[in-house]
Amino acid sequence: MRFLEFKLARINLSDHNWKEVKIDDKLLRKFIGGRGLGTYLALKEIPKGIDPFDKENKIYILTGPLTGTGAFETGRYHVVGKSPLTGFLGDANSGGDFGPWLRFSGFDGLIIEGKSDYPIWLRIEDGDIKFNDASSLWGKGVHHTEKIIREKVKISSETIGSILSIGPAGENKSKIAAIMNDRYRAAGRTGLGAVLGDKKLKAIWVYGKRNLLKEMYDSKKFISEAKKLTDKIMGNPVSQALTQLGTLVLMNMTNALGGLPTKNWTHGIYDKAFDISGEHLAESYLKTRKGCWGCTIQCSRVTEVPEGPYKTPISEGPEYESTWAHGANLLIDDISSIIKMNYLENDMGFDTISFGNTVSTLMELYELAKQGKLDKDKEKELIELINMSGIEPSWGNKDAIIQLIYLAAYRNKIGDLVAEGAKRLAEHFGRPDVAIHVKGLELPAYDPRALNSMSLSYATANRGGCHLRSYSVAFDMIGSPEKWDPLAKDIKKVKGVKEQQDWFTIVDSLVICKFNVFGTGPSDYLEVLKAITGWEDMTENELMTTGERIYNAERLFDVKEGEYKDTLPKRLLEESLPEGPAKGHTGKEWLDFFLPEYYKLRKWDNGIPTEEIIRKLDLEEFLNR
Amino acid sequence: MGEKVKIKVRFILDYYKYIGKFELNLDIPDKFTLIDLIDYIDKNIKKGFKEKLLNENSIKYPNMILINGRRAEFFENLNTKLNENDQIIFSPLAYFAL
Repeated sequence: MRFLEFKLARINLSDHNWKEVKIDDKLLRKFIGGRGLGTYLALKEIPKGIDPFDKENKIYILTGPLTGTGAFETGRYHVVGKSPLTGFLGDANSGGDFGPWLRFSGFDGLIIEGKSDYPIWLRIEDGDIKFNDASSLWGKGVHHTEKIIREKVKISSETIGSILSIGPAGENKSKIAAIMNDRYRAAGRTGLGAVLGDKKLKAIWVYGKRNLLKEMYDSKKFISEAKKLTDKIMGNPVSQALTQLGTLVLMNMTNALGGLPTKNWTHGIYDKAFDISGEHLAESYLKTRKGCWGCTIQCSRVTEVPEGPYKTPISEGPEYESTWAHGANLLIDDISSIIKMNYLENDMGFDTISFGNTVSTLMELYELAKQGKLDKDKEKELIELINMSGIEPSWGNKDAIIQLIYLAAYRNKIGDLVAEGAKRLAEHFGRPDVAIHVKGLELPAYDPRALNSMSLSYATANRGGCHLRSYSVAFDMIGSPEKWDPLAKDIKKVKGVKEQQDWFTIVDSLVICKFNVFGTGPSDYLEVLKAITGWEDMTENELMTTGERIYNAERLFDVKEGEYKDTLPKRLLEESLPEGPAKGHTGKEWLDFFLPEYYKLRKWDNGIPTEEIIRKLDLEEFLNR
Repeated sequence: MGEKVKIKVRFILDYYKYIGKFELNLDIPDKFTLIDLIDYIDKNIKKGFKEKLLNENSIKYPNMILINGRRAEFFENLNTKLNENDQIIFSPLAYFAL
């Protein structure tokens, strides 16, 4: 029996060198891995106030102690770095196969630093790293890039080894660029693909034969505890529902509750929601299901549009968020066109949530321009740019969006501004109120005016407008694990959101999938974690405190990086929904009720961690960052 | 014969498959309650619907019924009176869209 050794590779792209970095057991226990370890390293290593495209910015690509172990849904990895989109700490998480294969290659994580003079791809195999010229890959889409790299490494089977890459969006430093892996998987949020583009890192191939079981503290215990965990998760009706229905299950439900953001968040009900729902997809373009590495839930949809103007080869997706962002949000009811957009955005390497929101911002700006409601100079500029681009970005125009994907990826004409994300686009044309974002990050598919705990979840999410820091939709909409009235001013929601934020932080640090955490909790993972790490005396309380530590550490990074405000976009804060069960309610009504209590519970002074909580969580070393 | 009111009934997820339709427009007697509607569907549209949905007189986990976007529990549950233009949705538990 031995304690877990967590080994990273520090890769300097300026001089094309690398060295091994070992994370000691004490530090790992304090930050776990993945998002937690990335946050710690960012606080230690990324200088305060730098431009995200400064060579001192770093990208941490990290797994966690559970990644690739087969414990259950452990096929993910986490990315951390300073976000070019928000200017704060950015992070994103992705499934597929890359996380496990990174560990099998001999490394638990990568620290990417410096900048290369020319495009590079990395070949990481069995503890060694080779730097390769990627000039011939530069400008190519994700699908083509992966195909070429597989030819170079002579492994064509997509189940052996894995590739992470950026598309043209990342190369051209679009602030809504994703880091892609396994063709269809995206560490999408906060624009970190642009940082890899800035560093001229096009792709990473990972492959190896490392046996994680042999490195565990107690592999026999691990096998027995992992089996218990698997039985519990697969016995849960939620897991079974996911297998059957995938993430698109919620389209009709969110719409029924009046919380499906429609036409750039001006409505909460889309009368054609059924046409973009999972039910409709299942009887039209769905081919089969697919899962991440080692996962039996298989929530991913495999689709094909066999003919017609939106003909698309067999591919993965679209997920609920992407379908909403290009469907109800843009008034598009043709799911075949959304499958095409999703496919192309994956290929170009965009965050589909941010892209859809940025397009809805453009559509509203264009509508305002045509109505003469923009400043005259700005109106002229926008109309000229649109004419020059040869598109008509009016609501529901599918073909204009398909053109925009390419225009934005290569920063051409109006695409150059779309590539900057919704906030900058709206600010450029003098209408910041048209962009729906929190802290610069575009919002996902739940209107907090109709699902009121999400007002707090969005406003206090460290990385910005995000549903994955706290998915309180589960309480408000589904009624599980506890039933909440989505329109009730109930103070217990504050504690629920805070605890979920802390627990989800651990989930992202272990690194496991959030799909299994509603049927399980911290105690279910404790024994598995002990078997891997040897942290025999770890308690559930320690695990939750660790989550709180990481959440506060993220905020310590953010509050020193400029104006950082826990709020909602002006439209959601001040305007009420015009129809549905939430008619008449504003975000301000909810947030004013929840936020003061939340700060009290977190021991934050107007959003800033107090010295008391910093010391309590053993974060003193960052007091004066 | 009493007055009739028009309502819209939607079936989503498992219930879409089970009933074979997404939406029904029904004329129901005034004073119909939710339980009356369930009985009506069981009798006229799909035998076994009530048993699939209810456990004696309560909604069986993990089913959910929404009346105009609000869970039936927030009204008078199965005894909620239905009104003109109401929209009723029958759904199994639908968890995830993370």
